[in-house]
Amino acid sequence: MAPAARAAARPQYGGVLRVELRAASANLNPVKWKAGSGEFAANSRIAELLFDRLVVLDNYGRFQPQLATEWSHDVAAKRWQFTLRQGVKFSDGTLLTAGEVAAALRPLLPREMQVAAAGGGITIQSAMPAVDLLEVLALGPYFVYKDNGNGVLRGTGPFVLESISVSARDTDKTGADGAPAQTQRLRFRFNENCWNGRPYLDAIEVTLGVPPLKALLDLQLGKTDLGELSLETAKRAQQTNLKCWISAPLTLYALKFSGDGKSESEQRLRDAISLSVDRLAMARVLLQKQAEAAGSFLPQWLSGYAFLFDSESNLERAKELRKTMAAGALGAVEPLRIAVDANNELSKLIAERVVVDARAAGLTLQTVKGTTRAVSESVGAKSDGDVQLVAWRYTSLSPRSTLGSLANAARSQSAGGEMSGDADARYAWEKRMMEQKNLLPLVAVPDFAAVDARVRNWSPAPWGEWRLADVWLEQGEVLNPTRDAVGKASVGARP
Amino acid sequence: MPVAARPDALDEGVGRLARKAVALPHERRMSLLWTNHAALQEQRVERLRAVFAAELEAAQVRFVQGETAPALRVTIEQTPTQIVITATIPAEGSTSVAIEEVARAITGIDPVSGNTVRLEKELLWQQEGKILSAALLPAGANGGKRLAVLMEEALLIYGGGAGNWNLEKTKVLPGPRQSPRSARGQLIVAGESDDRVGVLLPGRRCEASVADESAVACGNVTTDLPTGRLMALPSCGKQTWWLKSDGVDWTEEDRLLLRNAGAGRDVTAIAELGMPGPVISISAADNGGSATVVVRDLGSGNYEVYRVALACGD
Repeated sequence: MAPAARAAARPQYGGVLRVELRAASANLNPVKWKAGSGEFAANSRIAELLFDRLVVLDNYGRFQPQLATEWSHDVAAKRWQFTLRQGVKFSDGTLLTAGEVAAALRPLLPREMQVAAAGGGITIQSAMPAVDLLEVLALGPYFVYKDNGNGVLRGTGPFVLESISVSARDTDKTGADGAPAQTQRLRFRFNENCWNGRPYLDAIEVTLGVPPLKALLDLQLGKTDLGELSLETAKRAQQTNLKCWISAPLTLYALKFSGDGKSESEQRLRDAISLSVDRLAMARVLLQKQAEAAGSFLPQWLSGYAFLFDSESNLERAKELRKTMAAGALGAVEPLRIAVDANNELSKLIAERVVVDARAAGLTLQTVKGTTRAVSESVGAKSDGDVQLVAWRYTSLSPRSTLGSLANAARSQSAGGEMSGDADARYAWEKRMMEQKNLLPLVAVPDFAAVDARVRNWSPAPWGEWRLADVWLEQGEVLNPTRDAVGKASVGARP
Repeated sequence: MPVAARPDALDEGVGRLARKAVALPHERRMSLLWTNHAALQEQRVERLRAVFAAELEAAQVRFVQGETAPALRVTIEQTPTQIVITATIPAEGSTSVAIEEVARAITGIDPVSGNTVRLEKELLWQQEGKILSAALLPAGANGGKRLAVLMEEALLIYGGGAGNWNLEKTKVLPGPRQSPRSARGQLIVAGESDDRVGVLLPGRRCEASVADESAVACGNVTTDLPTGRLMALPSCGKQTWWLKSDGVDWTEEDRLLLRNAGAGRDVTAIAELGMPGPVISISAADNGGSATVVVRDLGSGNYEVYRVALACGD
């Protein structure tokens, strides 16, 4: 018995991992990804299968070599040198060169950084000290790939894109949820040229455009192995014996004001709304303890100092501010319109709660049908309302880079010039940005997923990487945990 | 390209933070409140506190105990790459903030190969009648597991195992009955080979033997009912954790949270597990790495008993 149990615990090669994602489509070209956008997660998770980075971050705070084997920087941290791993091949069998690495990173890096091939490595020269360059490179779009000119991107990663197919979505009870009528299916097979060795899996099949409820049902019926869930479906999955995963809070929901906020009355209105919103109740009750109240732009897991910002409501102070508002001011009698994506249930819930909280302070807010956009997408776009409920996806491990991107997107340029990598300066910068109230953080919500019991060695990062290359599948007969739990429950009742 | 650990890097960071604090406006007489939310051993935190206090005391700051003095708060947090140490320094009604970061990779605080701790649950029992507490007991003389279920009027002992529990003994609780609305109780299991079970009731402590038919004996004692269980599992390392529920309202579904022993309630849990309703009690189970948890399932209204166990690695 013991030897069999040991053998079963060893990784096994083979099998096809079936993955269901919510995103309707994927774009594998990192140049096209927009910072902070919701699609970033799905794109990045798929790109992880095909492409490698220079470095990755492990769960213990250590940068681990991938395509770069060594790195160093000058005293000012402006000039970084990376030595590349020798003998790495693209999936088409050609050798990876320093020139190709530089060409891949050039359009992805911020403008103040210049990348150049140098011997067996690359050099990144930054106009500003870049002490956090490894944090920047270890997440986000910074993948290394080669464009053959035909639009097909080749990588050095553990899998190769084998096929793309489109099919009509199953018509079932989950059909009326605004999901696309078609599903896209991507099939990846193992890359025999991978420098890191062949992955355990033979292939991964990714189905896109799967609503969370269908993903949960498919998991319960054994039709998929890994499914992306929503807050509601994750709660249901947790009540079964499915193995559930909840990331760190990765998506910030915030109110973005259309006006410039320079007039005193506008500032007063924003202050009153901010003070009226009960973020803690929103996170705890509305979002069922699965979200984090956001009193700042950076979440606690990323900055380590978010607790310094006050996220508690102060209804009395909000009422006082309301009393000082002119009778004809927007938000007094004439409602302030919050544009909300009618297809996004979570956005609607959050916006409705904001309206209710604001009403308690005597403010008049009204939700209107609009589009939930990433903060970056809403810049320059015609506004659907006076305020938009926007979502921001955290896609960098660098607090400085994240804050900079968010400030640009939220038009907070006046937060004080270039931000240094110093934590004190970053905190002061974020504080000034908060005071402008162009963007009012509300809550940060994690990603949810669940896996079948036969999926082994799955250790996703709290910051959202799924790391499927190390996953293997238990090949023997495994009881479906949900069905097993049901069975136990029925036999457990009253002997 | 792994970075060599420098064990004194955190001490240096705390030293820098202390010097920043001294340079900012500050009171001369303060209390020092120190909170650790990072994966640092208590001994190391104590050493850092001593380094910090020594720097400030050298600058004529006097630390006092008690609530009358304004508090200088130091908080240690952990991000994916950094240990972030924050000081909020009081000065005449306002506060200043100083922050220092030290790369986790050079602090050497993380294990070279760590196991991810998680919680797993297994449904043992469910019934309509109210369960105050339950405990999965170590194997008896016949080798089978036993489940002790505390109800308002009696302690029931089941034998057998998962899916096949048989009622073996009913031990009536002597003395006054509790009001059904507010009935509370907790089972206490002293040792892994002990056949005795303690029953904590409001104002009373009772002892029951699960090996024989003897009556339950109770005495008056005022003891708070425990709210969690301290857990450890050799395969998860030498660390100990508290398993507690985050619930405050019996109309909501609770989560079980696992936190490092010694960490406060506001410390991020290292593992959590959703339960189908409010957690009624958390008691001992068959080993130090598991607990018996009673939950009222909000969906069915039934009382359910789960074995919740620590698990590490794959």
